[in-house]
Amino acid sequence: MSNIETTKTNEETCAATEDQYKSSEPKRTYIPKSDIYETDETVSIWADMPGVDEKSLDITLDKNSLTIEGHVEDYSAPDGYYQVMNEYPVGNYKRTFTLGMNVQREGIEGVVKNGFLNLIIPKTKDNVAKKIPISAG
Amino acid sequence: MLDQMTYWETWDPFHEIRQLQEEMNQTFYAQSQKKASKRAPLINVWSGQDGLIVRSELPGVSPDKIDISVVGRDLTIKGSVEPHEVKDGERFIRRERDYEDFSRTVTLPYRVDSEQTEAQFKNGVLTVTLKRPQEDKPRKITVKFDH
Repeated sequence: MSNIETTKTNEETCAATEDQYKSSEPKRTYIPKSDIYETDETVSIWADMPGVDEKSLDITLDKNSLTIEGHVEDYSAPDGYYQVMNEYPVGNYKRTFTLGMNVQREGIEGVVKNGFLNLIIPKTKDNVAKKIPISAG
Repeated sequence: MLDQMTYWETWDPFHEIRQLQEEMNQTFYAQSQKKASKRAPLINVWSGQDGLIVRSELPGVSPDKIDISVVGRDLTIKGSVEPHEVKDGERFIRRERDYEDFSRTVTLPYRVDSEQTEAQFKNGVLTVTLKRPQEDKPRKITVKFDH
């Protein structure tokens, strides 16, 4: 059984309306492409979040749902420049992962480098089935 | 009767087999070409008085793995992503990220000075600034009045 489940947040629900954001903030919200690897000790999440640095990244753990949220500032070209090609609109990032029971809520570590987030979630040590002794009454 | 004779004379039983073989070869060749093709990153381009600004999102790529070249009017951005090294006892649950090498060539709207090209890579976003040669810049032509 996997220790982690992913919930794809609907783009419509998390995309805020125009008034909610400042003009420099993009209106779109993307689900970052993620890889999840697991060992006996840890679960690691690797997510593509170009344009996000440590200051613009929010990671929240609410009960067992871990949400990663990245805010990206829309690029403003210098004065006199106009866009001639537009292949990708800039957007924020949001994704929620549901953690299993055998992970440690404390000790989650995150590193962001080159627009690439790595989260390491430690697992609880005693995830081996325990034998419960029963004494005769 | 004569028509049938001619038909028999010219009919080659191996023709159809050869045709089938050729079709299969073409299909396999197309497949092999498809595999060899690289991922092309998306780009946004701005144009101004001094030149062009090209931006592309390349998350997880280290700056030394990006190769930018300008030949004539063609700008090429290529590079590779270091694949995740799977350690002993590690298994993947989900794999969505791209690990393919990437390459993208775009023909710019005008000639640029390759010597003055600058590239900046910040938080996984590449910004290439290309300058337009002085002699190529649009000039304002004033119309003289002769009374």
